[in-house]
Formats: sequence, C-alpha cells, structure tokens
Amino acid sequence: MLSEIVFYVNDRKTVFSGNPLTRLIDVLREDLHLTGVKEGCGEGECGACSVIKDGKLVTSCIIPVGAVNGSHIYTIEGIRDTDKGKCLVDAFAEGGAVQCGFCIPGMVMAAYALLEENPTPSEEEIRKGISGNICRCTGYDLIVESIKLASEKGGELWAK
Amino acid sequence: MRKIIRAESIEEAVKLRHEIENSAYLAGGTEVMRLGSSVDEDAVLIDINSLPLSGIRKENGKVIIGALTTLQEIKESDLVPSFIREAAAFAASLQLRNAATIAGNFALRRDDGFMTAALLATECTVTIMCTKGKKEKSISEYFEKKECRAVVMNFVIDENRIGSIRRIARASHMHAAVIRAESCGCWAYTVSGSGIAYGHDKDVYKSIDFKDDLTGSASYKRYLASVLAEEGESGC
Repeated sequence: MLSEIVFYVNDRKTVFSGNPLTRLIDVLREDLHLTGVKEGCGEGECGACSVIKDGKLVTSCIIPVGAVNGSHIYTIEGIRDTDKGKCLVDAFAEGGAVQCGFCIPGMVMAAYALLEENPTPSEEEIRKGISGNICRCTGYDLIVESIKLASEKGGELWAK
Repeated sequence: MRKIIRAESIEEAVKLRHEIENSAYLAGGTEVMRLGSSVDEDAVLIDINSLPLSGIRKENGKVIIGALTTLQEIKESDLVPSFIREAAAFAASLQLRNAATIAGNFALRRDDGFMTAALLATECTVTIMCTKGKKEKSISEYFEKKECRAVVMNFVIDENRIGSIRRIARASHMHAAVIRAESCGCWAYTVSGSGIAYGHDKDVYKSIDFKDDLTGSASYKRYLASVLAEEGESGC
C-alpha cells in the first residue's frame, strides 16, 4: 500500500501523505502555496489550472494527486524566471495580452507547452494550442499575437 | 481515507483487483475526479500508470492501441483510422485529452461515451489480462461482461477500417445528446441518460429506452438518432 506519493514540483521533491484522491490543484495551492495555479471551472474545461506534467499540458483540477507519483510537474512559478518563461511573460506584456489576468498563468503554461513542441507555430496552431484555455476578456487575438511574438523573439531559445 | 496501491505488473494489478472486493483501476484519473463519477467513494485504487500499456503500433495489418494511450496521442496519430481520431477530439480540451486514456474512456461504458461508440463500431478485438492469463475477446463480448475485473491491455483494429462519427449536443460545449458511429456496416449509438446500442442494423437505436435529461428530451434524442441513422454508410 502506498503511504506516500512522491513527485517533483518545479524540480523540488514533494512528498504527499494524505488522501490520494486529493486534487492536484489543491496540493499545489493549499499545501505548496503555488497560487499561480487558478481554479476556474473545476472540471477540466477552462484551463485556468493548467500545469505541465511530464512534458504534457494537463488541468490540475481533474488529476488526483495519486496519479502523479514519480511525475515532474511545472507550474507558472517554476517557469516564470527561466529564459523561456521571461520571454513569454515579456511578450504577453508587450502584446497587451492581459486584461483581468485570471486566465493568464494557464494561458502562459499552454503557450510554453506549445512552443516547447513547436517553436514556430502558425496562427492556427497557436489557436489549437490554447484551445483548452478560456479567456473572458481579451477575445484571444492579443494572446495569439503575443505567443507569436514570443516565438519570434525567443527564436533559438525555443529550439533548444 | 482512500487507499492507493501501485501495481508493479499487469498480473499483479489483476490479482489485486480480484482480491479487493471494492477496488478500481486508476489510470488518467479524470473519471475518478469527475462529479458524479461511477467509482465508489471508498474503493481502493490500483494505480496502473507505470505499466507498459501505452503506445500505438501497426502489426500485420492491424493497428494496436495500448490501453493507457491518451486521447491526444490517438488524435495525433496517423496510424489510427480517422473517425477514431475524430472521436478522441470530442474530449473537451487538449489538457483533458493529455490525461484521459482510451481504455478509461471505453471501460466506463458511459452512455454519452464518444470512444465507446467509435470502438464498438470498429468491431475490434480487445486484449485483456485475467487471472487465467491473457485473452483476446471481441469488443462486444468484453462490453457485455460488465463484471469483468480484467486489465484491458490493448485494442486491435483492422488498419483499413473506415467509418464516420457524429456528435450532436444542444451547444458545442455541452455533453452530447446523441453520438452515432458507423464503420463498415456496424452502427453504434450512445444516447445520454438513455443507453447504448450497436449492431449491423442502422435502426438499432430503436432498442434504446430514450429518456429526458439535461441534454434534451427523449423525443428530441430519438429524432436526432433517426436523422443520424439516415446518413450514408462508409462503404467498406
């Protein structure tokens, strides 16, 4: 019987010994105080709680912590100070992509996951990449343009 | 508190599932977290995530899809028949598709299941592991045996299988009212809140006891199924 769930959050080892059906978002926000992970719909459809699990974008509100044993999880706090993270954050600021800001951590994570896989996405590919993230304010155009900007300005950074 | 056991092998997972009366397999985890989940609140979870059950490959004219393959991997694979890829794309978002697995989606037998309809229409084979060892079953045989505690290992589909799938909901973001899949003359319908029917008769949906729910009235759903039944066959 597993008494502990061991996983890595932003490269730091995390040991969880509570109910394995606790939602990953609750462990991240309540236990680890990573409040950049936002709760929107709570059913995996709005993308506000997006994190990267073993290289793939997932919604942490529908992942039980028991399913991440041994996994590497990255949240907005883990990428924002990296070169790639700064590139994205700067592009979002320069492109005017942020209004209320609630969706932005999830949106940045989606953009990060997209550019990691495809450093030079087309507009259509960007829209597909953020298709699981809902924004009520911007109408998406400025977000799409900002991700394009991050792709162009980041250049070689994303190809690494 | 819920308990979780990490299975080290497929055989061990099956053994645990048989030994522990109230237990369930844990893969992507999206179903056990869903509001209204069919998984019992006190069930012991058997974590099968580390088992070698992922991936898609082609072998002797068959496409073999591992049970833990995610819906996004299916959506992106050129090996998978297009209507099954289309079915995978019905899952709400990229994030959900990156977590949810094909076997998880199918094994739940949900009456609004898109993968359920698609796979039943393919008349594929399911490889399972039981206490008596590995077995191959037709998908209909596996589907009907609701008490089976076996681990699904993979789905084996003819590589040339063609077909179509349609999903109708009151709005694009809502749960489907009716899903209809057809492949080489086999029709499968999943109707929200009402049931599942499949067979070589396009009118097999008539055996479903249509019921009202949030996705639509019984008569609305019956009408949708009748319209979808009139769409042409894939002509294998």
